[in-house]
Amino acid sequence: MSRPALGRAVTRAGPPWRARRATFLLLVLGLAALAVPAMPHGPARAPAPALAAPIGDAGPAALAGAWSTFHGSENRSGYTGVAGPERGNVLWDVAPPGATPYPIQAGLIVDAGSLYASNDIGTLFAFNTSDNGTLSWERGLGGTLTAPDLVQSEIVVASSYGTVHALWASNGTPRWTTPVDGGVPQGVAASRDLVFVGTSAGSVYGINATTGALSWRTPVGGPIAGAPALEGSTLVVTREDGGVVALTTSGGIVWTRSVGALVTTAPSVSDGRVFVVDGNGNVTALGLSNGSVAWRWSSRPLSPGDSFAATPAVGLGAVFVSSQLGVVTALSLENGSPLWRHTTPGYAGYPVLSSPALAPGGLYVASADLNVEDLDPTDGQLLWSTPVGFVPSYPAPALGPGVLYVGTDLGSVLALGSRQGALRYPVNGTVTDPNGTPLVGALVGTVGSSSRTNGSGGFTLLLGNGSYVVTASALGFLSSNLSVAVAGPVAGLAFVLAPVPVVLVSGRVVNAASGLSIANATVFVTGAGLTRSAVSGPDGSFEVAAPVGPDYLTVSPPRGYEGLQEHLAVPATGLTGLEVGVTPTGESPSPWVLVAALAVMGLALAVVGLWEAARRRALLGQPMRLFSPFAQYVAMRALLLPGQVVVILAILFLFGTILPAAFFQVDTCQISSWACFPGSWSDPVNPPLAFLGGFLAFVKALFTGAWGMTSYGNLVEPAAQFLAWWLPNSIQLALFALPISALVAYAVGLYVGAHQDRPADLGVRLASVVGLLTPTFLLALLFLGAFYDPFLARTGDVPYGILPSISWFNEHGGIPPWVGIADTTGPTTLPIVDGMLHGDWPFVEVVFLKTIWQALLIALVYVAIFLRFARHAVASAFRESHIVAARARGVPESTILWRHAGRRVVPLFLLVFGLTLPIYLGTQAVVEALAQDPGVGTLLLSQMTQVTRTGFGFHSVFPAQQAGSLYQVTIFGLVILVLAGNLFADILARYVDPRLLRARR
Amino acid sequence: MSAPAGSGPRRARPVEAVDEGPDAWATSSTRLERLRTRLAGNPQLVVGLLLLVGFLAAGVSAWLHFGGHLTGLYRIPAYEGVSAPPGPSLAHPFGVMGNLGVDELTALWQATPLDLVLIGATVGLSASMGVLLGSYAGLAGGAVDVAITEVSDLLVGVPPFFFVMVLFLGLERFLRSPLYLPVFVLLFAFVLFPYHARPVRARALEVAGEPYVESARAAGAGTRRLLFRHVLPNSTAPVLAQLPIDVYNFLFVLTVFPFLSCLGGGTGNALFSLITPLPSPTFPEWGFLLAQGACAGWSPLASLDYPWMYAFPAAVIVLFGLSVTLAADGLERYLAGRVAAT
Repeated sequence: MSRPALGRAVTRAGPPWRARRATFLLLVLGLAALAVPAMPHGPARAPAPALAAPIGDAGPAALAGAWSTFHGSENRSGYTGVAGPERGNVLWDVAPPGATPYPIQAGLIVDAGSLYASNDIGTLFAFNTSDNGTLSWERGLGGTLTAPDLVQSEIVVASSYGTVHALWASNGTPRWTTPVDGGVPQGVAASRDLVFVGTSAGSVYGINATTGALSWRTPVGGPIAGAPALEGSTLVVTREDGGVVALTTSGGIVWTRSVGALVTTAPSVSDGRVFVVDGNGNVTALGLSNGSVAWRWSSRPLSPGDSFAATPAVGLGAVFVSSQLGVVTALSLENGSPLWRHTTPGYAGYPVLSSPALAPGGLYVASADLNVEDLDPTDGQLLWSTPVGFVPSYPAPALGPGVLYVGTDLGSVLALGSRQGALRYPVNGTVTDPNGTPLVGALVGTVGSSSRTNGSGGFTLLLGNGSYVVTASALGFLSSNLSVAVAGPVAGLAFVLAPVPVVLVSGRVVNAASGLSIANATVFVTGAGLTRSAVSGPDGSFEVAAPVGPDYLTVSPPRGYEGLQEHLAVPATGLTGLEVGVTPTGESPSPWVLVAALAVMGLALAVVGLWEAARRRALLGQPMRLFSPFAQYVAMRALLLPGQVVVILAILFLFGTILPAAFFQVDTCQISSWACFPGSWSDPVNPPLAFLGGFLAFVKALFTGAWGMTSYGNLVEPAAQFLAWWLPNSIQLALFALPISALVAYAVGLYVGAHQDRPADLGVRLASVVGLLTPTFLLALLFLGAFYDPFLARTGDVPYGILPSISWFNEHGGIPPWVGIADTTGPTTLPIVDGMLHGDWPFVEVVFLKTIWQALLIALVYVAIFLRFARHAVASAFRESHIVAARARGVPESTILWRHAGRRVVPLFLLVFGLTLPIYLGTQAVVEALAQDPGVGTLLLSQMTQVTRTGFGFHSVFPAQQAGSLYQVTIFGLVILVLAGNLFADILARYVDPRLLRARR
Repeated sequence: MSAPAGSGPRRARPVEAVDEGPDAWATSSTRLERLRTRLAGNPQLVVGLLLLVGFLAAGVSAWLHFGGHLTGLYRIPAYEGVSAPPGPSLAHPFGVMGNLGVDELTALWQATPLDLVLIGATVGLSASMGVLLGSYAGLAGGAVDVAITEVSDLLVGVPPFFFVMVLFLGLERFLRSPLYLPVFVLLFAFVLFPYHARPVRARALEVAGEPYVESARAAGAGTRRLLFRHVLPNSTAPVLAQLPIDVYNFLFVLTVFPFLSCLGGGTGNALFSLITPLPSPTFPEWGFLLAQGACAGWSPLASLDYPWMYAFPAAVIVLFGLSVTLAADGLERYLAGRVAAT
């Protein structure tokens, strides 16, 4: 394997374009002339790229060595042509202003002597890099901010609240603010005159950089995962579902591809290729012009379970990726073959999420072991490593000429560089509260140095000659400043911090939908490290003593409502009349549906059974008897049903709720207040009581429809809602699959039974064994391969994957406007019927073909199993005396087959159907999941994956974070379905053939 | 002349001598002959048994060859993570599995003993549980019968592949990884036993009503003697029909979740890889190898371009299932023939 060419990208370095505009223009035009013939040609829809290069801002940033946007340049390559620091000495370390440190989680940018950083509570800072990082200005904007982007002389930054702000870079004065339709992740992109923003609502915006006016908006079919990347006149965005979409700078979609796995960060674009990393540990290189796959590399074989969440750095002939497990890998730009690997020591809970920064001679990684590392890009050797003492923030460090800037989770910013700082003296002191108690972990800092206090409240700073203002801050205390002049070692600097003042905050908790008061909601207010709580009264009112300043308000409402967390600014005068609206979870309003359905079913069966028994007896002229054998049988089965239900509930509760809860040490009070007896998991004195209480609560929740919340992909909805949405789709599939399976099984079974031990029988048996043992998914693949060409010819694509869903339709003319949320359809909720009602024939065709494909697949697997059970029954039917008699009478063989034997085997087939119903349901669930159908089977299997991650149960406290109880509800529904199906099949079989009643059950 | 001379005295023996045991009147050579004629009319049993013996030989030889090192795949660094690995050749007769970087023949061979033990243990345990409980329920009747039948009916209600994972995931957190597979096998046997118990009970009901059982009971035979001497041995036949489906269920669990995980696409599907009883992601196991092979391409259709990756594991699985089916069906016919002969 060849080494990457080191010198290649250095030639792109040049003077800052703002300073020497004429030189720059000449240079760019020259480069454009070189670049245009080399650039891959886009499709005809894209405008001619001749003038595109000067428009794009990506070139200048890389040229100047400026780091003016997320991951360095607009193409997210993380590469700067100017060499980075050769040593990792801390040049300066700016402590965060204010009492409470908020993490800096967005990327830093640096340009022309200024460093811009945005923190988690929506404050944007500008630091002067030439003056040891003094704060130039700060501006509160709200929300969680993205990385800033420097466009000409303005800073553009977007927030999780769905706003895009532009400020003058010189003093932070706001210039314009434009709202968009969702939160903006990671960062924005900008050309000279347009700002490009991707939102969590799945839109990409083009916004005029000067006025903030909306230029265009394009929906791309899914939430955007990271900052858009701009290369020349092509904009590339990644979707969270793994979609990669290329757009022109005027908003037209050029191509769409999927990398097939969760993506959480921006793509890198370089050398005519788009590099996308995903949560399955793959790196995919796509052609920039048409999205074709150039190569793909998986990290899984080398480090199983690994995934990527950081944008790769691209340059020097290689792609550098840093993984969640702390492995940095260099891949060849040409073919993706690995060049070297470097593993940083792991640190539990803090993966390497930082996107590496690349400069000639150095790859800079903020690693999992609390170090910033410099690796040699040619062979991955560690050049230097500087401990920064706390977890480095997630995105890219910024590279300036000879200096690396790193933001931290404590909200401070460090500059690392080669230059040895001036001679520094120790400055010692202590931090105490007004009573003289030492404060541990308080943050003490000034320009150039910061430290946390030790166990006895002492700290040491290292400062050079000069006078400083040192700030001390601690959670729950007001920060305090002291001036100190340093000309030698200083000792005895004593800070006394006063506690944060607490004021009264009062208000009401109300139902956001109806405005009605909600009692028994717990309200927490957290700020400056203090948390205070209160419980709302019968009229929803609450009163809580809260710390002054920026706080978090958290509401934990009673069951039936969703929890809430939001920012709350508490003024020194306190707050009154606060109205906190919580939204109802929309739990099933008809709790006893299940019970009622079971009761009605049993009653109907009893009535039908009695009526039929009476009819037969009257027909035979026998005296009336209340309990005929048939009625007895039906009654016994109906009586046993509740017993079966109780047993299955106990198994579900034991394995589904109580064991995971015990493992996670969940307080039983969290499972339900019913279980909140003296015994709990942390108090092992009385586990039986806790078990019984929990079980009662479980059964109650199950039968009252309090099923909690369920999440699937980006949807978080009440479990009942999911079932209501997606059950019709599964029913539709079953309506196709069951008749097809039944017909095939009946015809083949009968024919084979009649021709036992003949070639047909042997062939079918062999085929059924092969069909049985070849896993469903492999059959699905082969089946798909066989149908590929016909599908391609009919519908232009293979209906494998999500259907009828946005992704597929976006690539085929857009989703029909009448399809609702979560791919639901109206008015009948069966997609095919609704498609017909709306006259949308292409939709009907695609869904129909796909459903038929799935139904055939199910039949293939199910019939194999079915015949295995049914063969003997059919064979014995052919030995019955009436068939022998019919043969003796010379009745034609085909009449015997279809009339005599055909009727006789129906009850046998019904019994076998009852027996194999669970296998059928399991097969359908897997086939649904394989095609990623919006169906109950998919839900059930995906819920199973969540259980392994979070544990689950009927938790009332954190309904949205916990995997819902849908898992248990669906299994329970499945069991009921199977029991009912068995009951139905048994009774029907005995109705068709009363002789079966003679055998015991 | 020698043949009638040999048979003459035997025919002349007194009746009591017949009861001394079968050896007294059937010499080993005639038994062999009888067996041979019975097998000659039953080719599927012969083929099935031969195939099973072949698998057993492969398992034992793998055990010896790998010296007990059976829990980690031998990986070839040059092929790890390669997107287009070489197909079948002389050096790698079954080709190379790219994403894992293993020679496929070696991996399949290495997996054989463990798979045989796992499948054998699961199927054997569930079948013996089913036979014991089923025949006891059929013989004893009453409350015992109702209890066993109801539990069986209930357990049959949930798809087995799904049910076993529900149980396993509930327990997994309390286990250390060496215990994963033994516990999984136990749980699986528990989930599968009703599929044996139900038909066995139905057969035992019939058998319990046969005259010879009645007479044994009249002769004062206890429940234990009735069960083990008369009812149980005559109610085992239905088990044979279920054996291949047990094998299917076992391998299905191990293949379907890894495959759903690598299918990617939908959010959270990568988590399917967590649903496995295998203690490590490089554990040699047929089903796991098959799933990995079918995941070779980065889209489902692309993997069709690497047929050797999934075709060979699938062939091994199908061949094994086929041999179990043939042996089971053949044995059923063999036993039926013996019953008919008596």
